[in-house]
Amino acid sequence: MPTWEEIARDHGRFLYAVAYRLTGDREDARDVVQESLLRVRRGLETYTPGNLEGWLARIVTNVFLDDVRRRRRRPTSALPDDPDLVVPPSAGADEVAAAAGLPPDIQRAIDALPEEFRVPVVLCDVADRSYEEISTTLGIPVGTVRSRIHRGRRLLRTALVEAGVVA
Amino acid sequence: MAPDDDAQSVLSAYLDGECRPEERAGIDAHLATSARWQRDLEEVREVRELVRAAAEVDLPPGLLDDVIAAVAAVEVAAPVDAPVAPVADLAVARRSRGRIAAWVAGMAAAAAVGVAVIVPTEPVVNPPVAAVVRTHAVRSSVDGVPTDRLAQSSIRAGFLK
Repeated sequence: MPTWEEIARDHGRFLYAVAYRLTGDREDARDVVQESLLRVRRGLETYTPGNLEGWLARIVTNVFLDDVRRRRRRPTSALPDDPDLVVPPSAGADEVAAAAGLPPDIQRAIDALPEEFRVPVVLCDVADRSYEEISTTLGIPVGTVRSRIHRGRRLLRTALVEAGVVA
Repeated sequence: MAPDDDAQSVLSAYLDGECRPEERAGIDAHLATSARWQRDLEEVREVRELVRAAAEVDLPPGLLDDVIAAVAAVEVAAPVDAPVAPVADLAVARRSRGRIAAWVAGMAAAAAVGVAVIVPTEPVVNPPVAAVVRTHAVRSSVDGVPTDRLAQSSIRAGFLK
């Protein structure tokens, strides 16, 4: 049984890739990876050796979805009156996407997908999980996974056609 | 099958190897005769490959070391079973952990240099009960005043010396 630190070293890139494609933001992805590793550390004693990346994908997805639900419950705070207190703008989408080695239009299209489509698509195409695993992770029927992945890809295509990435 | 999204959702499953054998045979038969299905299949395949290419992400330098150190710090500051702040409050949790770590470090430093830690205790009061009772008893024996009538006794006590 590997330690949580060994898992972090061996699978950190996988965790970060899934987290980054889900969040579309480097800092958010870092926080998701950190929280995921904390859950790995705490859950390792009860983990049954087997499909480790499937387990990790489930954890990182749950961390992301927990955060999404929490943000939905939290009211949006007003901007401060003092301009000095305004947080400076973060790196633009183009810069971030370039740093992640991905054409910006594709990352933008993924970011623009509604979560109900983005999560199954990322779990399938980035985390390389089976429909059955995605079904278990999200608590939805396999048939729903199938239709959401297809619908997500169609929406991505529409966005990419509009952006001129594909014909 | 009509080429709408519901019916065509099998195309993604087909590309992902998620179809049952009999389903795959039906799709193959349909693709053999439908130019629209062939075109749709290629469109979905193209998007699928683009997203799969996104699976490779450059890991920011130092990120793993930083995250491992942060998780290890949480382990030191709190037992494994203790509740942990959720991800949305990680910034708050980090600040809190920093304060705890600073407190722990300060206490350790104090112990190292032999600084005494003063712990407040209840004040101890020792009233001279026996002396007061004895004095009143003497006065009572002289004046015939019961000891439960507690008048000043210091003068008479002094006199009896």
